[in-house]
Amino acid sequence: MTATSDDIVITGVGLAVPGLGGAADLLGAPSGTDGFDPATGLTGREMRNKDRASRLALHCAHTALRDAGLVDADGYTGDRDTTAVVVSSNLGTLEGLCQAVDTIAEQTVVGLSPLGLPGTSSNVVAGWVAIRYGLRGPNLTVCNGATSGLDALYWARNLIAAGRAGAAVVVGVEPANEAVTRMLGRPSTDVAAALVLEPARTAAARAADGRATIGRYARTADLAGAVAAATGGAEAIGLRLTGADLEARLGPCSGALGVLQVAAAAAHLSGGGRGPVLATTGGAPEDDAAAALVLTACGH
Amino acid sequence: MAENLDIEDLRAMLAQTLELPLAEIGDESHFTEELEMDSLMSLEIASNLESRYAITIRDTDFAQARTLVQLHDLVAAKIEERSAA
Repeated sequence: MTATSDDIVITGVGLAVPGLGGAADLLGAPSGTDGFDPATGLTGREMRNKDRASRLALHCAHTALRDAGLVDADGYTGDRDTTAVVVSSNLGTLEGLCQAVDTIAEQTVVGLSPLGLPGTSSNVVAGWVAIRYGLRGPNLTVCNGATSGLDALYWARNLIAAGRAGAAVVVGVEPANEAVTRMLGRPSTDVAAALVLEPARTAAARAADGRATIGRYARTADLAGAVAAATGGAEAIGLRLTGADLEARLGPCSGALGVLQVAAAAAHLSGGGRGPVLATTGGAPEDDAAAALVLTACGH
Repeated sequence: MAENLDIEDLRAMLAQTLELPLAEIGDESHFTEELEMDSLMSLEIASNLESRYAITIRDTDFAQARTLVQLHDLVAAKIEERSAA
């Protein structure tokens, strides 16, 4: 499929998944070298006093922006006024909130630390990413259950298509911590992925490579309905990403899942893999909905 | 019970709050220009100092102290004020 001027494409991909290097590692066995290590990757001045989800997000957002050619030594080189940040996270602020509630119960509000306050905001991750790069476009968090990650891609795409944003950084993130493990009833994992979305014409104007084009999306009560609506029932699918394989390898990915799947799709398509790619999330008995998103290769 | 003032305790508190190695907190390191202290970190430090030394630090007082040595002088003066009262 050839990209048209109205298409919205992915121009940058970044991951923060322990042991994995790049998005291609999501498609098969990790290359094993230079994999992400939270012990060293989440430190540094820009990470100080931030909750773990924000640190993971800042790490992968930087990789994605660098991949897109949108950062240099002075920071973000795109249009700061019109760049959006859209984050998907279901459990990212759980630990901060639990700690705040515990502290209030034990010591009243005088025991609260000012530094912990931002971590109790459900939009904290999107806020820190915007502050780090001076991004003043729309800024929001999608906290929408199983479909959250694909929903975030859809909303970011819509912000650009509607002219509300000129580009968007989309992050899906879930941190590993005790509160999340208690909530899930099984060990949690650090998982985060970031994508940079731009209109195809903007990417072409600055000679940036499009990795994949965002195609049709649907969110319905059941998986079959979402798939039928997103594919139109007609297109032959080159690769199906249900998320089950990723969660089997990485553990529960929750709100990060859809963004990780799209990162994998971008790696598949930009590596010459057969398209289109169909990513689906949700649809299990415990989920309230299912979402499907089609991604196609970028034309040159 | 308020603690006795020791500049090394202040250095350790700054290092912990700013998440920086102890060695980076020099006596004359500028809080904002060199250590990149922001307003939330300032609030945290002021609030820690208040409870540790049983003193009251106004925002305007804290804004005058821009290095470890100046902060030490500020806290010492506040402890003096408290003892005199």
